[in-house]
Amino acid sequence: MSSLQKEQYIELAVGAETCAIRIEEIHEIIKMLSITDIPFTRNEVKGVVNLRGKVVCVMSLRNLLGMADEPYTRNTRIIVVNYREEFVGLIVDKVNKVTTYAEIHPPAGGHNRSREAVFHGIGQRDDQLIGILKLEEILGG
Amino acid sequence: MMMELSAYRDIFIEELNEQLERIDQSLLTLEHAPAPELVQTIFRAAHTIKGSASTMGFREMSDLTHEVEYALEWVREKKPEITAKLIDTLFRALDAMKLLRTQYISGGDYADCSAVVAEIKALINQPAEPQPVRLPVLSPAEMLLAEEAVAAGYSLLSLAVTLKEECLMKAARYYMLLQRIEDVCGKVIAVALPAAAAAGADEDSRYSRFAVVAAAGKEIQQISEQLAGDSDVQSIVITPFVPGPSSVIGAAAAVEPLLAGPPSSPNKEQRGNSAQPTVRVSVERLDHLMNLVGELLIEQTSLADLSAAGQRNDPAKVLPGIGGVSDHMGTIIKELQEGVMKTRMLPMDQLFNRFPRLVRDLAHKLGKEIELVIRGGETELDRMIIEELSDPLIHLIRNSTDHGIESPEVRAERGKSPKGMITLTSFHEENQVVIRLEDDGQGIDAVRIKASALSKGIITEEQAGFLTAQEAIHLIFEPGFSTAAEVSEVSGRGVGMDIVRSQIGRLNGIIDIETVPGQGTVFIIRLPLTLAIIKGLLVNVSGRVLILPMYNVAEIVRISPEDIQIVQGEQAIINHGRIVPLSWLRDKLHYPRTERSSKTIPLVIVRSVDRIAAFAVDEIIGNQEVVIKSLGAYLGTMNHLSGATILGNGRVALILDASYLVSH
Repeated sequence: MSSLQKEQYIELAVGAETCAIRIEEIHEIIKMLSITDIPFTRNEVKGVVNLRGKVVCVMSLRNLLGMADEPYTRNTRIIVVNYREEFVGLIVDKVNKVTTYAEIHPPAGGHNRSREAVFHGIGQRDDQLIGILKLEEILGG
Repeated sequence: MMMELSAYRDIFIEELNEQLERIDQSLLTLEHAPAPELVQTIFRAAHTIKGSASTMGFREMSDLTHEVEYALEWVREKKPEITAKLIDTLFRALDAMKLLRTQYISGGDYADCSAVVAEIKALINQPAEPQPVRLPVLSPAEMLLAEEAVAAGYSLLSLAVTLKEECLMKAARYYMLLQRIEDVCGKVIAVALPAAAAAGADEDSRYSRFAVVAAAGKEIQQISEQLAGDSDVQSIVITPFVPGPSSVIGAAAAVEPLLAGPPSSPNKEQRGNSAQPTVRVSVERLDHLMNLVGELLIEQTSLADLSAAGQRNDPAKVLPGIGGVSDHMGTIIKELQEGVMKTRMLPMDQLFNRFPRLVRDLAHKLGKEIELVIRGGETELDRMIIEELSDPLIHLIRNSTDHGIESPEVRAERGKSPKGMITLTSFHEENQVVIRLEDDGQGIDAVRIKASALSKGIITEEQAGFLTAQEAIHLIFEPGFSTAAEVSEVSGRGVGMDIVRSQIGRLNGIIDIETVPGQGTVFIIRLPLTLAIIKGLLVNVSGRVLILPMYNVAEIVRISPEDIQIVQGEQAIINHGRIVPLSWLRDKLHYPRTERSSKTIPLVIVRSVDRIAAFAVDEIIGNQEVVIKSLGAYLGTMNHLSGATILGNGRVALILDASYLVSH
């Protein structure tokens, strides 16, 4: 876990939860764009957007983490990540900040075992705990 | 050949063809980019041929391939520089193998390959010694010349000439000798010179040895005597020239096998086996593109000037200027677009050239006489489409030879020429390419098709009653349909007419069938010029802009709700006297319903391959050129979409797949 500690993370909020994504995996963070929905896709696929001439698929992180959709707000952002050599957008409620963690714990077993897999680990700063997302698991699942 | 092996003969020939094709392509690639794995590929192919040929008791082939294999092993071990000579020798060996194959198929006598074997041996044993100049490999044009000469009663000779070391001005002597040979023999058909001398070497020395193929009307002895006595000539060795496999084949088919092979042929395209496909573009085309880019830069400067002027003074005054620049830029971009498209284009011959051999081989196998006439091979089409067209066209041609053209006896009975005729034509028509495959065979019998489809459970008794003759004919495109009594090699490959339909559909193409029983069948395939940029029809459905490829839009009509009929529980309309199924695009795509204000319903009638369907939309917006962008791999296969594009307002619009729409 030591390698994870030195890295920088983007902290974001979906619902009541705060998560983090390794900054290396992020291509850019953009404000909400108009999304074109695609028929016959999974519910979490929100559609495609025009990212400077590229057509990029956007997903709802809320849905991916098992939460229901909420209307988009001024704070809603699309985090564009690199996933298997292409861009995929993740819609999040809010992007907080760039941060590092003093300590990273292995993912907690807890009551919700199915969610354990989607986290690399739990970052701790002071007394706050933040789940570090494993993109491969979330997007590939 | 041993009797018990005859059952494997076809499989063997098929495999042989495959391996020869592989060697052919690998050699072509090797010539451009030497790579050890290519030598390995060729080696493996030769090894496979050797093995199966000796199993089949085909000694001539296995002996020759043994030598080739030996040579390749030498290349693999010694890793000599891949010279043009090495490639040429291998090509000549390949040609000899093809010749043997052809003779094996036709059951004739085998040609003597000892010359090629000697060439290979010489190559391996004395790589350092200067070799006798190789014989020229004839280009298709030269091949035709040679054939004409043979037809006119001349015999083909090869003359290997070596000039004396002390001879001055060898180049001049070379041209004089050529003239002399032409005078004495009759006609010079081809000349082979050693490859250009290395840098720094005496350019003149290049001409010290050369080989000539000539058509002569005299005996070798006679010519030898007449050419003798030149003080600058060390030796002239005259031998009868044996060209490639073509000498045993009729004129039409003759050119084809050569086209794929010799290094002098224009067919040097690297096939799709390399990871990075390359394109050959003429410098002229590139210059044209460069000029256009230059013009764009100039326009951009004037736009910047106008912008600066607008900031200083009244912006309204510069608006007309901006409009003018925009118009001009539009023209340039249009030209640029066409220019870039052209770099992706290939002549149809790339594909058509494979067919004479195919038809010939099939005709032999089926005991039929068939002539294939190809027209319009110069028609250009996007390279990707050309590649994708190969399988469906091969299938259609196999079908025409197999099911279309009758046996010579039947044809004679019906008062037709015993020789069947298949005509393959391609031409541009407006913004599309049309391919016509016409045969003068027995035509398609709608009644037989219907009966066969019924017995196979493709249609029900009730449906059969409704089908018109034309609709019945289109049943041949249904999966599981085949009227061939026996499972032939064709069906064995698992390629059916339904594959033809799906592949042509993927290319946004359309197929029409015209058939007259007893007289023949015409398949007409229409394809867009390119798949990168298409003309799209923009429609509004539930507040979304969707795009339909214009190639697949047969018609746009407005109907009133009363025009909708219910046929067999489905909505349909009558369009030009035929029943066309109707559906609402918003329902088909599961979009929410919206209020409609207008009384009439705009309909888009979509055609794909051979099917047709009408789709009700909320509004027709208009048509425009759209650049097709991929939706990316993450979404997975989206059968209902052929991609997306970005509209003028920056939003993404989905492009619907016409073949999906009409078939689901």
